[in-house]
Amino acid sequence: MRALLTHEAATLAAITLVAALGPLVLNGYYVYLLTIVFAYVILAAGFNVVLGWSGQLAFMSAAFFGFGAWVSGRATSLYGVPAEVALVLGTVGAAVLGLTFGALAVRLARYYLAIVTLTLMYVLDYSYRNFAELMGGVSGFRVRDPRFALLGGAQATSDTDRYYIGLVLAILTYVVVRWLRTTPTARGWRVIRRDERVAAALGINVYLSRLSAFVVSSALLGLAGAWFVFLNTRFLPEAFGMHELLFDFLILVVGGLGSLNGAVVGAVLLVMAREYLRTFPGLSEILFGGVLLAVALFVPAGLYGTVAARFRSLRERVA
Amino acid sequence: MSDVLLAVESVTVRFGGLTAVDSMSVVVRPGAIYGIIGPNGAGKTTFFDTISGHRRVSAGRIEFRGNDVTHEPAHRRARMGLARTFQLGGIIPDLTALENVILGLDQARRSGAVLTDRRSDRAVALATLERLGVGGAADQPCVSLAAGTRRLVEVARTIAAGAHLVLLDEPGAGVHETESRELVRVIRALAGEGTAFLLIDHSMDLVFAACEDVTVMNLGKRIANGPPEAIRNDPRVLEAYLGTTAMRRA
Repeated sequence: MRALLTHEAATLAAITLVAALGPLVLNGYYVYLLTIVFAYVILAAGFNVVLGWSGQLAFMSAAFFGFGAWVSGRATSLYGVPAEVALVLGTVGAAVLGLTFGALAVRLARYYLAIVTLTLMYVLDYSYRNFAELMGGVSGFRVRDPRFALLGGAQATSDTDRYYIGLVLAILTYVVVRWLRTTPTARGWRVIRRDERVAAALGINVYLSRLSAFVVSSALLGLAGAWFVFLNTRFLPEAFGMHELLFDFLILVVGGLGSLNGAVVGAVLLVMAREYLRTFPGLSEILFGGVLLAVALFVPAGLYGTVAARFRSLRERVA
Repeated sequence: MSDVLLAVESVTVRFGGLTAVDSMSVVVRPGAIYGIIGPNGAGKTTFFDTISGHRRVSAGRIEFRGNDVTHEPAHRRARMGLARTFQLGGIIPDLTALENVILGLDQARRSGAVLTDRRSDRAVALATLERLGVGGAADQPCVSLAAGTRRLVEVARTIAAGAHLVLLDEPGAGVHETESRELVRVIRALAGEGTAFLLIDHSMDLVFAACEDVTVMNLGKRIANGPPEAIRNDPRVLEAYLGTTAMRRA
């Protein structure tokens, strides 16, 4: 077990080191692209908690990603708070929304929960567009580069600056979620995903277990959005709708639902693919639909799980 | 009265016009092995669910460790030391045997038990599996285990949880005969250390081999009660239960 831990820690350290060298060797476009990837690593790690681990059909990613972005963007643009404060506000704001909404929503199971979470997404979208004074309106609002109090009030304007900040946030999120997985609460999520009757027999309060997964996801999705909004010049309501949700869902399914590493791999692959496909308008929708179908049919465990299993059996044969 | 662990008084469950459980009473003492048998559809599982809190009663009263738990939800009863297994298996198949037993340690902590450091959880779980003779399965995913081994892992989990009473729901279902004998041996050993067992099964062999006290249920009602020898020769039981089995065999 200890050997396994250090093995994992070593892998993480190696990936961190390689990633840290990125801006020194990559051209500007790829540096920009990877900053987007890092934001999606946070998003995917967060979304995986509710969808993959606790097994609740909560289609909540776009709504909470957007809400975190809105809170953070509003806080910096209107009130000029430092970036760090905006990130905390986006995270906490999304968590509070998740707690109040989730307190009612997680009482619903399966498709009912899916529908109710989709409804929240549309209600938020409607509010952004129609309460312009407070929310920003149809065309959203401009997000100025915030100042980082920890960096002596400097603005992170260059892609390289954002790359490193994003990398730190993504790694912090990964480590926290990884640690979370070893807690009794997270083990409880895995039980309620399988069987809620068994969970109750193990002394797990099923309602609180469902709710805690929902809130943890809310918070991390909020953090992802709060950071993501700084990578754009505007907060745009249309960026946080059905398109975004399906894309997020695809990330988890491609990587492997329920696997943290799968979520990371999915985020890397799909953000890259989406950027590449931007030059062919309309193609990404068709292709992503096809990919979703192909993964569901041929690699239901997701790319990460399948490749990791192959690798393990290969290693066992060699050893 | 402190000698009574579980007291079920006149529990009734109705589904619309149908009475699935009709005024059933059971008393289980610490360290006892109590069995309930009956043909399929007798209402055994429904009755069981009322004891574990997975189903509400229409009438009656359930007392566990001196507390009225009739209206307590299942997770609260579990935290009071009432554990159960499931007919179709309550093991989480994608976790290893060891991880499943750790879920029992989590339950013990939810119950307020003061355990050793979390870092020794794996060692404690392994020791529990070894006590039940299935230490070799520790690192295997449960999906790949034999039915009997899986059942023992599920029992190990209730022991790790520090249960005072373990409800075994059809422990013999799908289990090989030698595995079944092993299960009986384990249950007897654990009961000797003070854990009480209440088991239901429609196969009599396991119940007769394990239990000191047996209640026979048919159509939601208790039709007989006593030690296995007496039950075996009770004409009402032969008529309601053994008769149907004998006819099916013939």
